[in-house]
Amino acid sequence: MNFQFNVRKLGWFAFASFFLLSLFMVFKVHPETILFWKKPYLLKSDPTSSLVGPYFHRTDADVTNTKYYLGSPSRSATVKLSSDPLQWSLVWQTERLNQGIHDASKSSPVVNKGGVFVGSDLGVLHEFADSGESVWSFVVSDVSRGIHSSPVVTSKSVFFGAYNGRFYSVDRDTKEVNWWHQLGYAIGGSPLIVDASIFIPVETQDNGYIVSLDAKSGKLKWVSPFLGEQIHSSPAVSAENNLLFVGTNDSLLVSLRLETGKLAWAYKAGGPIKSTPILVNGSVIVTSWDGYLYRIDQLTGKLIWKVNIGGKSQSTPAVSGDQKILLVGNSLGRWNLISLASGKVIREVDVGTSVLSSARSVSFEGDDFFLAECSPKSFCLYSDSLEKLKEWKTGAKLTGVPWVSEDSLYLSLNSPGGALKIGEVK
Amino acid sequence: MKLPSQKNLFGAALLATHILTWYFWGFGAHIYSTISQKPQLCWPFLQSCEAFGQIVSPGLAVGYFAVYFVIASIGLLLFGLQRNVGLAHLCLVLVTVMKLAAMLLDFRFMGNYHLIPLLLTVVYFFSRNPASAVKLTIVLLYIYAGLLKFDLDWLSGVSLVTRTFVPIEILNPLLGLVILMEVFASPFLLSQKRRVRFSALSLFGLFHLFSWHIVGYFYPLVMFTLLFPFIYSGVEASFLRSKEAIVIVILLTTVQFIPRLVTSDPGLLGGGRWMTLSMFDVEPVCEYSVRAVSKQKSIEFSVAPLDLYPRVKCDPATISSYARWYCDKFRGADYRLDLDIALKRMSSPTFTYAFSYRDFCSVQTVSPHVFSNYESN
Repeated sequence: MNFQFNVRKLGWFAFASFFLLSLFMVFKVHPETILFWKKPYLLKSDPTSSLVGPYFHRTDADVTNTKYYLGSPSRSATVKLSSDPLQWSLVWQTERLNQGIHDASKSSPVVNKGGVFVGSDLGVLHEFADSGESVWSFVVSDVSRGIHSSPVVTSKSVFFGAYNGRFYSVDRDTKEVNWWHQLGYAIGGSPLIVDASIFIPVETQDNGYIVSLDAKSGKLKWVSPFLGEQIHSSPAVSAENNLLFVGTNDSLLVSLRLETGKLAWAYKAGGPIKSTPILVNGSVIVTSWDGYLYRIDQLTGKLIWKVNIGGKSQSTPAVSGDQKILLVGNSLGRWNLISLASGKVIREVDVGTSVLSSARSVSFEGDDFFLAECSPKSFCLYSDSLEKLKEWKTGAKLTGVPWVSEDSLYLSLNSPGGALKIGEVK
Repeated sequence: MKLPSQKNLFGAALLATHILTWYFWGFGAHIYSTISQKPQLCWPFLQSCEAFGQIVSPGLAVGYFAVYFVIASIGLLLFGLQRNVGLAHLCLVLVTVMKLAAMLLDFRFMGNYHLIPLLLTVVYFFSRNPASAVKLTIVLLYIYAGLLKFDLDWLSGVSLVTRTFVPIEILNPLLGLVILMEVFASPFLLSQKRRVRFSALSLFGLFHLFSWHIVGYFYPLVMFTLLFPFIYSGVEASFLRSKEAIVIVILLTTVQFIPRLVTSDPGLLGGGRWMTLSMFDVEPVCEYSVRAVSKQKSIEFSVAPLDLYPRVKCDPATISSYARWYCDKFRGADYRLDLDIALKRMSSPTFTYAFSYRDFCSVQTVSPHVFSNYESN
């Protein structure tokens, strides 16, 4: 049998069909492609730095009435209370927020205009109403890496970084993403907004840097030089000196120029610096895993004093309202009360659990107090001489920083705890 | 034994590529394993590929390709024996249609080592001088492949699909030489002078041999098979002046330009690139995120298609398939889906393009052909 096969005609037919089909698909089925003279793309990613990734902007963020971790650029503000903390009790507590991955501190709550915002190491940013009801949540991508930093909350926007390396701004009313920016491998430290600039510690897999963005648009302003192995510390800013301070896991306390991100000075401590530096009276104070608390001159980077606090520490110091004493915890489960002037330890109190959390300084009717963890499952009000005045059972360990408003206290606990509010029960 | 005609040699070579395909696709098992990885990626012009994919079972895939192998072998044998060439041609048509049908199941089968033999088969069947027309087409494909390589991605070496043992100081000049070879040396494959043609063939033979450890065995073997008939003859000068040759040049040149009209960087943005047989040697980097948004909850998914072949992973066809898959997942749920895509060439320090699609399920804004309907940054 011999097939008579008109291969030429078949070939012509197939080729013509392929060609016509191609043209039909491109110009007819998807007519937008015919507008090829109108380029179907726009964004040129900000070329300032090749370190950061893509950036998406839909609308500008609101930057009015800004609230963030530790309350002020110096990270050392004392909160003046309008109600007696001795009268406070547990108002509400949510279900579990964190699963307890890593030893790192968990995200701390930030409260603004009736909204309580807090991240979790389960990769979710939560918004609770001031009544404790869940209002909204944002589950980030690479959810298993979690959210470890604390948000910044303004009247209409919330800003937060996640351990997936992305930094987000979301509209509080519409819940729409204003903009987001891939800034690196991970964001573990808590951001800070000063004069419409936002400063964010960013980690690569073996290094880290600080990024400054325009807080409204999210556009990149500068990227600092590499600062050493990862940055778990959160930045503090001295607006009067135009300097930013942050610690690194490479044992450095670093000072950067606020306008450019260039290095002003760096001080080498004896161990990783994971706590947030606080700024007091022209000095910067920070703890280290080497077991020391350091006080360093803001402008020169020279050591003023350092004191052995008995164990490694990632607790951020709290300074009393009169700016005379500091309270700082360590991994041996001890709070150290320290004279700011001399650096001498005044008093030590054991709490029976490794202190990963930080205390907050508050004042009421002229008296100074500290709010701090006092056992693995409770939280306390201390006098400025570290006398325990009041204890609240929390049921789980605190690893972050309390948020204190005029009449209430908000905590985010490690697993199996949730977020909770302590205040006057009306 | 008398040597088969040039036409029959190419017929046999094309059938041999199908036998290679049968082996390369794991006797059919690879087809099933690929389309069972969800989402199934649809070609731009066949957006309902899942419906066909559901029909395929492991047994059907292997059985289908057993038949494919038998038909290709019979055709090859007939060409070799130079008996019943008409039936051999029918075998070639059948296996080509069978392969095309399999390729259409998923966009991941769009490799140019599949597309090139398909195009050559079409040329083979339509031409009055099949051997010459196929040879001319192969040379034109080399020339365009060379021209498309003239960018930083190729010259720097970042677009190589796997790393090579050659030090970068040697690799960079070699990559430049590849462009020169493809553009300027490939026409000598058509020479009637044996020495000239053999010199060119040796160059291309060495090139494909060297590429083996980078691109794997299939591509070099396909090209060796297709270059085999060049050993015996070049192309008559009279053919190169014929209308047929001119038509081939015009058509191939035209399809090279279409992607350029659709997007400014087809190698990166993918629009229409399959029409050029996907010869862009670009290593694209893309990140895309899908966000499901409701008033109470937003859920973000980062889609990182790292396991996809570089020429496919950032293509609009791929991303539209992912988008459609998410739409299916969230069908009936009270969520709006947004999609953000960022792209750059590997050689670019920064992301060059970003596209945002709001509520992409409701109006099917994600085109499988080009990135559009953007919200600007």
